[in-house]
This record gives sequence, C-alpha cells and structure tokens, in this order.
Amino acid sequence: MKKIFPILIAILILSSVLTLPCFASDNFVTFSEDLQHLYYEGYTYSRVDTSFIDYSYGEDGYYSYYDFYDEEAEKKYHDKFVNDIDIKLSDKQKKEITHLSIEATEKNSLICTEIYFADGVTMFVDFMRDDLKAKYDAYRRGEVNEYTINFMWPEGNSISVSKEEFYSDNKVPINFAEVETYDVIVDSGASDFDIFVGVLISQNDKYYYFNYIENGVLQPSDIEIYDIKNKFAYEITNPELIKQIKTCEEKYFEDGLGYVYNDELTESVSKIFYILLFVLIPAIIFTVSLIFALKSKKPLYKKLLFAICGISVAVIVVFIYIVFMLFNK
Amino acid sequence: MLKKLLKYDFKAIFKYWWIGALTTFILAFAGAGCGSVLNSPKDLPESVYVFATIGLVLIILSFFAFAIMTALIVYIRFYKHLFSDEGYLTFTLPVKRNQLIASKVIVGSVATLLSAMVGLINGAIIILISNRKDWFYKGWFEDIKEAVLPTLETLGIFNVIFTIIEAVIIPVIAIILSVLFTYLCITIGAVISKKAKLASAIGIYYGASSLSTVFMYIFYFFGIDALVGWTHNLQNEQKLLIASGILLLLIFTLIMLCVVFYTLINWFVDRKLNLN
Repeated sequence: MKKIFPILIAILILSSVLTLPCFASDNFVTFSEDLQHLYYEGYTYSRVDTSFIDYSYGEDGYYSYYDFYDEEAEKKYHDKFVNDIDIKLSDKQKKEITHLSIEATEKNSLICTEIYFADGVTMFVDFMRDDLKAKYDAYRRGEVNEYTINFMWPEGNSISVSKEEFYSDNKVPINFAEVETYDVIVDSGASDFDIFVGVLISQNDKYYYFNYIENGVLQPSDIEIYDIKNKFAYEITNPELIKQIKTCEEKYFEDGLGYVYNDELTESVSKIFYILLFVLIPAIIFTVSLIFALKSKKPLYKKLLFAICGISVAVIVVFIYIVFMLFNK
Repeated sequence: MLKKLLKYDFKAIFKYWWIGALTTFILAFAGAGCGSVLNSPKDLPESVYVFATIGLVLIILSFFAFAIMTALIVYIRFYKHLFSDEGYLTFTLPVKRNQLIASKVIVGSVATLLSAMVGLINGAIIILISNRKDWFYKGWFEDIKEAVLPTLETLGIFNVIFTIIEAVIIPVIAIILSVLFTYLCITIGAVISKKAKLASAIGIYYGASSLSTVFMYIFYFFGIDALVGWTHNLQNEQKLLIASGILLLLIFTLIMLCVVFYTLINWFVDRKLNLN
C-alpha cells in the first residue's frame, strides 16, 4: 500500500502538468468585454451563412458551429473547439482581428459571431439552436404576433397577448421611478432563452406597455430600468386584458414575490415568528424582570430590572404600531 | 470613582493599542501602493502583479490581526481583572462592583469602535490612493447629485436624516452588545468552572454564537422576506414609516439585550463572590 501512494501522487501531478498546455493561450476566443464593447459601438446584425457548417453539440442543447475558410486555420483551431461554447483568443490573436460582427438577442444572448483575422482567416461561431434562431429571426422580421407577459411568480404566471392589444391611442411619457415592471417576451419555449420585447409597467393601478426598440433601447441591460426618463409607453385600455393582468398581479403579490412563499405554512410561520420575537419574548422578559425587580432588595438590580421592563414594553408598543400601520393601509 | 477606573482602564488598553493602530495606518499606505500597481495601466511584468497581490493580501490580513489584537486586549483584561488572582485585589478597591463592570464595558466598546474606525480609514486610504486618477473626474458631482436628489425628493430630507441617525446608532449599540455578550460568556465560564475558566468561556461563547447565527438565519428566512412581501404594495410614506419603525424596534431590542446582559454579568459576579 505504501508504495502505491507515491505512484498515485506522481500520476496526479503529471496529468495536471500535461493538461496545462491545453489551457495555453494559443487557440481560444473569448467573448469578452471588448467584444461587447465593439458590439455596442458598431453593432451589426450579420446574416449567418450556415451552408458550410460542421457542428457538434454544446452544453444545454446549444449547437456550436465552426466554419473555417482556410484549411490550415481549420486544422490549427478545430481540435480545440470541441463541445466548448467558451473559446478564447490569445492577446496576439485579438490584435490580429480586423473585423467582428456579432449577432445577439436583446438580453445579450449571443447568437453568432464572425471574426475576421489579418491573415484572411474567418472564424465563424454560432451559439443558437436552429429552432430558437428561427423564432428570433421571425421576431426581427416583425412576423411574431403574440407576446407573453411574464409575471415570474408563481411558476407559470403569465398571459399570452396579441401584439395589437399592447398598442392603444394613448401614448404617454413615462417615468420609471417607483413602478412595478413585468417582462414582455416572445416565448421561445426554451427555458434558457428569451426574446425580450419590452416591459409592462404597473403604476397607480394603470398599465402601460414600454417597447425597447421603439424607445431606442436596443439592449435592456444598457439601462437601469428605474432610471428611465423622457421615454414613452402605451396605456393598456382593453378592459379584459387589464382584468387578466390584475389577476396575475394578485397571484404574484400573494405569493410574496415568489421565491420564499409558495405555501401558506411558510406565511403562517413568519407571522408566528414575529409575534414570538416581538411580543411573547418581550412579554416574558417583562414579567420575569418585574417579579425579580419587586423581590430584589438591592437598588442596582431594581433599577436595571425596571429599565428592562420599560424597554420591553416599548418593544411591544412599537411592534403593535408597525402591525397597525401594515394592516391598516 | 468611575472616572478614575475609566482612566486606568483606558491607559491599560491603549498602552499598546496605539502601536497596532499606527502600524496598520502605515501599512495602509503600503497597501495603497500595491493597489496602485495593480490598477496601473502600464504593462508590467507578471511577477510585479504577483508580489503586489501578495502584499495587498498580507496587509489586509494585518488589519484583521489588529482587530483580533484589540479584542484580545479587551477581553483578557476583563478576565484577568475580575476572575484571575488579580481579581482579589480588584474587588477590594473602594468602588462599586457595577462600576467596575461598567468601566470595562465602556472601555471595551470604545476600543472596539475605534479599531473598526481605524479599519475603515485604512480601507479608504487603500481605495482612494489606488484610484487617485478618478479624484478629478468631473462627473463626480453630477453622479452624486443624480443618485442622491431623487432619493431625497422621494423620501423627504427629514426621513433621510432620521434613517441615517438610526443607521449610525444601531452599529454603536451592536458593538456595545457584542462586548457585553463576550463579557457575559467569560463571566458564566468563570462562575460555573473552577479550573478551566477560559476554556468554558470560549465554549459558551461559541455555543451561544452558533445559536444566535441559527436564529439570524431563521429571522432572515421567515422575517425579512415576509416583511418585503407584506410591505410591497404600500404607499411610499407608509413604507418609510414602517422602515423607521423597524429600525426603532431594533434599537429598543438591542438596548434591552444590553441591559439584560449587564444585569446578568452583575448577578453572576455577585454569585461568584457569594454576595447574593
């Protein structure tokens, strides 16, 4: 047994050392901040030529496509790109890029990119599944007529609405401070891919539809949603739709924002917890302190214990006041 | 007599404390130098970055070491003065027992607060000097105005000031509470155990801390999230009132716990001296 351990350790070290070159810089492309930066500055939505594609499956069902116009480049890079969405370029290679075109969804879900190098090699990488791509292209062409308002919680809390219902004659300027918003999406059917069209705004019992592209917001991540000024939205006027939205909103709030409260038991436990913490325990402390204060003959303890009584009463009073404020809206 | 006690306790605690504070202050500038290297736009050799990172990490660790040193000075003094052989002399002094304990609490709290402030100042030195290129960024004022003014308009200046006051008071009370909590653990350990007083104290401290951590998790899971849900569709003025009320509730609860712990320490000390 003792002889095996050094051998095992040697194998472990050797294999670690041998795998290091695989992570060496040479043949990887990073979709890094510099690519996003280029995307924002001079974004282009190139059509992807998929006719020369050789593909392999990536993670989460994404397909990774690799197309090389230069056989030597293909030979050099191809082996490194198997089943890997993240492909990294070395610093030297980044400097040799002459042009980039990237296509991505509004939520920065990368669809594909073409990378042109100084030596004439073009690298083309596609991340989008065919069916999702088709859906996205249809949306971009304006062929999608139904959007989904996604209230997020509880699960499945969403309504499908035809596109026309979002647009009324009442176009209003909108201030995003202190509103509730719900994503309006094109439902792709994929849990990990969304096409974000805009948001439904709930403000003072009225609802408005804010479309990203119409307001010049090409990337929702570009803006802080609560910081928008001088934009416009359409007021939702269809009474049936308003009723459906209200129902979904009630479900959303009853669920307590969804990520904690999906059952009444948790809600009840919370209420009991608060009462225990700020009523029962202070009451017990008050009672015990009062008894000992009355029994004690030492002035120091009398003062301290009466002080505890006073503060515990203050805790209960403040708590009752807060509960009164909370439930007497 | 309390003033005299405070004077001697302060002298004893800060006799070596100031050396640690000064050392970390100087190290903060060294840390700022390391931060500047890491933020440098120049293409420096990798080894320089490695050394700068190691240096910065060691310096930050030294800040933690200073905080631990402060705690050790404070708590060892409390233990030695009341529960070791020195305690026999301490309790013969012509002062009330609660004054002895009050003096330790005040000095311990001040030392802890000051070490926290030193830590913050040191952190600020590192961050500000590392990012000194941004000092003259002209957009600062506009950025701050954009961030602050809408908040003031929405919340109201009075409410903001009230909340800030509460936010400052709460950490101070929390520091006093943590000092009292540790003193109580030391006191209970000294009372219940004759031979392994410190070990008992440490055991009680860790046991009680673990329980309080579990309690905090329960409070977070069932408490905070519930509150967010219940207050979600209230008007802003009501939300503010409730937020202020919660902070006030927290202040009262912390004060109550402070008084309870102080009372218990006095009671246990009396019990230790068989004076109940």
